[in-house]
Amino acid sequence: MNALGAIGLGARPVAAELRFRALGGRTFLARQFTPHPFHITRPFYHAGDPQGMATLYLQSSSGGVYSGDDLSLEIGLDAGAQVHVTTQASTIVHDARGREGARQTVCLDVAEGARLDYLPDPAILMTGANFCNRVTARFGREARVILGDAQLSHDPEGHARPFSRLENEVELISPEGTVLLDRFDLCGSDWPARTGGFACSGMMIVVGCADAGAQMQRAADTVPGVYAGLSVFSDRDIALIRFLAPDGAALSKVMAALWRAAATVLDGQPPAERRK
Amino acid sequence: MTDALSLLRMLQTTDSAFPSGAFAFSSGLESLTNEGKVRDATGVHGILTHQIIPRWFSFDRPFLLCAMDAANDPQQLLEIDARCHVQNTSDRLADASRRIGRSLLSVHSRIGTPFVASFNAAIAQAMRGHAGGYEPVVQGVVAAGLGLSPLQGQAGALNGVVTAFTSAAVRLGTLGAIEAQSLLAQIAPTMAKELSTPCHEKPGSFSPLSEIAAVRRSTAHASLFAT
Repeated sequence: MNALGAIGLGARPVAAELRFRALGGRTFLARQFTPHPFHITRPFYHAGDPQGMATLYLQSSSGGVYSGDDLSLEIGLDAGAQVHVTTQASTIVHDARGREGARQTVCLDVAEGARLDYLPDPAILMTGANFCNRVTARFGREARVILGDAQLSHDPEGHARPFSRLENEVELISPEGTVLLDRFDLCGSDWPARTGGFACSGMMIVVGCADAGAQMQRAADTVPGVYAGLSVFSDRDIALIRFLAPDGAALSKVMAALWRAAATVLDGQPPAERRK
Repeated sequence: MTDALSLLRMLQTTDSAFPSGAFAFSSGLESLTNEGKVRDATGVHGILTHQIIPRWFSFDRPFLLCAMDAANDPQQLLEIDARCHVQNTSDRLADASRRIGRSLLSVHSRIGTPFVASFNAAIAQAMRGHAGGYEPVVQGVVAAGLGLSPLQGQAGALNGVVTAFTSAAVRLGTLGAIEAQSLLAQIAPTMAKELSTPCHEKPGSFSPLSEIAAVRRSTAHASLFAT
């Protein structure tokens, strides 16, 4: 099952919303609006997580993202809430067959002192896929965010036929304004040369604890075949590690390893495993 | 300014003898060489044509052209420079860009290139010294100050990036001096063709191989370059 699905050609914009609130040391899902194809699990609570952290899996009731889809998701955390949001599996972006592309917009609103892990599985860009992905994270003072964003290029017939186009943007906004904006607009045919032949590319960002970066680099270096490099922006207290992976298995491993490393530094102990 | 005069000023400011400090950076080539990912002229050609040049066109070029347009408006230049700051998401490439930009600001202020001193003062006044003065923005100001056409300004900046990269390759021993000149001659038509295409509306970059290489901290080798 895919993370965010679609309702087919000519779809109207579909917007989902989740809002979390901390009460009595525990984070609750205070509001949810998840129209088709969005679907979520109930919140889970894991021993060993930061106190009261809710873990929620995004699901989809359709088979992927299709041409014409316009999906948006807003995740809001009130002050002090602690949430781990992930997906059940990767999001398959299907062949647009020369038609209009699909768009996915994610807005994360993390209030003062809140903590959000937003770690969707990678987008799998099938041959001919045309995809625009935008993630915006607004965060308040003392907020902490771990944010993952990754893509995988895949030809189901094994002929290395590329996706059509990927427009990708990740923006971080503090109370003072935009502090980081990573964006690119790429033709699929350029992917192999730009990645040096790697099938997968991505990054993980930590806001509010740039010191986590060194541990993340060490974690990435333990995953065979992965090529990763760390940037630290001390003036904004942000660490960003970019990585390339040879296949989906290595990509999953490095993303899990990076998150474990970051969460361990943030929380002072290794996090509970998230089973999928 | 006459075409000949503009051309002469462009040649002066993009010459390798001009003290921009660009010689200190390899844009990731040193890591790629040390790690065995680039071994010879073919490898250098691949990184240049698939990483360095595309990054310049999609990222540096829009900032340079915006800065050329705004060269006599220091406040607008500060806004362009601030956008360049938040979009530079590789720390060492950002640092390299600032160091080269600030060198250009310093030298061009001293030799009286129009618009440069006022921009330099605006950066200091805005307390953006640690986070301001990015290379493409300064190059745009300089190009306007020298009376260059947009095409001349872009060609000069692009040529500077490409020659700095091949020079690094020669010093790393992955490219011979003649091979470097052959490579430059070989890629010039592609660069010229690309310069005739419209500029990207929004700056961005996807050159992950060289961007990762540029920020990797080598513990096994002594580094010649800062990136």
